[in-house]
Amino acid sequence: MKLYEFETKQLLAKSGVPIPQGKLFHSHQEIDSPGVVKAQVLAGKRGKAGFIKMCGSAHEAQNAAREILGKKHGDETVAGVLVEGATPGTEYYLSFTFDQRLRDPVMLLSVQGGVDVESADRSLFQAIHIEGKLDGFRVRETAKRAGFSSQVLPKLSNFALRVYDCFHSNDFRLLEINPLTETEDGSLVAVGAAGIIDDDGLQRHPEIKEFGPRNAGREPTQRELEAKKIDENDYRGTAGKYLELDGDVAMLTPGGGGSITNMDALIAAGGNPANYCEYSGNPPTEKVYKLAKIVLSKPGLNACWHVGGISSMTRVDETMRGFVQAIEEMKPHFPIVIRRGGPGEEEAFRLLKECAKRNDLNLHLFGSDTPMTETASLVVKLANEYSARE
Amino acid sequence: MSILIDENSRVIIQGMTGKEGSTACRLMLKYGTRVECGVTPGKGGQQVEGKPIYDTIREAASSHPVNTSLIYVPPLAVKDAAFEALANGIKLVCVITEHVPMHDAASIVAAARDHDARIIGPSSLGVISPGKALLGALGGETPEKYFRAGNVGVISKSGAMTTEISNMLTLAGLGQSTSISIGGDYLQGLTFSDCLELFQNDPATEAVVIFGEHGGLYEEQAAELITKGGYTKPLVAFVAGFFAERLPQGLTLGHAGAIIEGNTGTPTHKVAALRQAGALVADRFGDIPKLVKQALQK
Repeated sequence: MKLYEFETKQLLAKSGVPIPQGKLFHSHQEIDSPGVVKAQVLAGKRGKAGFIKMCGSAHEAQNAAREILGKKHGDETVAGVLVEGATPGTEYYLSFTFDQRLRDPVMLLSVQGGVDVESADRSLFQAIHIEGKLDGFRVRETAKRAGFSSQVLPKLSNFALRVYDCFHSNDFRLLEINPLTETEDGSLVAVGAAGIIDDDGLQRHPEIKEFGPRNAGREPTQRELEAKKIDENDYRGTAGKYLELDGDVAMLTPGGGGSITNMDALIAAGGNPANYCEYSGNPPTEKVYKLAKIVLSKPGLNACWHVGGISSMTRVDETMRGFVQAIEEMKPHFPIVIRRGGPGEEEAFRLLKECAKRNDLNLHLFGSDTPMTETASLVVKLANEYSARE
Repeated sequence: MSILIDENSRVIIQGMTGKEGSTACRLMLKYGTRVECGVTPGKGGQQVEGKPIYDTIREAASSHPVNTSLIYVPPLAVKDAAFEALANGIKLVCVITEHVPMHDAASIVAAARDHDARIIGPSSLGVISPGKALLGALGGETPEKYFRAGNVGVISKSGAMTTEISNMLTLAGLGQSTSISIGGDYLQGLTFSDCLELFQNDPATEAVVIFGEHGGLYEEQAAELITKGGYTKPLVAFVAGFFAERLPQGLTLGHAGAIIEGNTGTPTHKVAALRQAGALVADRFGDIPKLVKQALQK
């Protein structure tokens, strides 16, 4: 879960990290002081996009906010601005994140902070492998290597330990202070802050879960919103991952690894997926039924590919029964290609065959003796024939 | 031979009284794996599938010679459960639980390092050395249908694809030495390269198949191991997730990821790295058995 800057700063302040004086506004009229006006969006690169403005008077700040609020940054619409007192000084960079190579958190430090960090020389960054505990002396050693001047070291190690405490105790997967500013009076302030909370860690932070809704990415479609509801009040398995794309082949793809492999296979065979979806963890019949109804109701479909690997724990009969209920009701004319294996596959295939016969459906069935992706070319051929037929 | 598990594995299941834990116990016993006992704090004295349940591993270990643990406890209890297994001298711990927080996973991996033990997962579906032992519920009710003993190792980030690839190999007349579902979390215990090193030293394994996915750098790490000469047997690789490269990429937040990982992570980059190292990369998923046969004939 990505956090807005003001949220990250709230958490930093709780850990005792100094942040600039500031206030969040949703309308420009309420602004009553000068300062830096910063759009609150989840995406990065705000400075370059003109979403951070230095304003010398309250009036100027109001004008800047009026201009920024409601504007688009990537797919996001700016709904709030943070107005902070200006904090000039020397700009450094500090972050904590995970390094997959070490399989451990690391701290990154650089004497060069600010908007151009991305293009800065990589050799300016010094890393510490945390190994369970961060000590002040290790921060100072690293800072020394990174070229920090000696008078800043004692404050820096204190500051970094507090940021690490915030990173660890709130389950951040990324916590970045940029710029970390050394002001004229020599104090250190987290002037810029960005954070991502580990979604799997959220379960022990109800207060962070309660942070307002995020609006990253494009606006979800009606069907995507409906799919999301499938998992909301039912913890048994998952069936609510559904993302619309612009193709004509409806995809019903159980399993994470299987679903991405089959998406690739369809595209490689010349097909165009109408959506990405995933169901897994042995979801009950009604969840698969709801998901199938959503997947099959997208306009402009020329085929459906219900394709998955050999499951170990997910019951193929119970999940396929949900799909059968959906096609029984909807009676799609377009061809349906199914490949699936696992517990209860015989019963599942019997139900599918009977349903196809009863409703005269164009159904093609394959089991675990046919390799999973082999039916990709068949579904593409059938989709092309179906679209040419009209 | 095989790696990680065999006839000598003596298994304790943490969380065996739960639905998934007890199912795994039943399936493993049916496959002939020696599940000795289970642990669920507060349920000591009960039985599952005729096997005793203890409150602590310490008690269990005093009367059962266990050397392998399988974890089925809820996500926030995994760290403590893994620490308990490690503190009691268990050298192989397989975590089936999904959604383990990253900070916990890092602590578990670090603790395993200190105890000179191995962690599989989190989010593993299990491990199987066909004909010898099964850890977890790989292959569901009929693992014998999909897995056959043989000379090919399988390592997969995806649980279901572990079975799928093994089944494809079996259908093509190729058996497996050991098939491992390593899990696809950002931080995991055994990685591709850790497993490849084990297969390198296993005389029964003549080739290995890996199933990778977009994201992270474990596939690139496998390529580096080959280049360094740490793995010299044939490697057949498949990487899924190319379609994700076609999705609109949002503006990323922060720079730390890019500083550490550079441009690793995309399937295109992974495939290039693996090819350059000399791995046979299957363009199509279905080509995997063909490439394994090619590699074995050389």
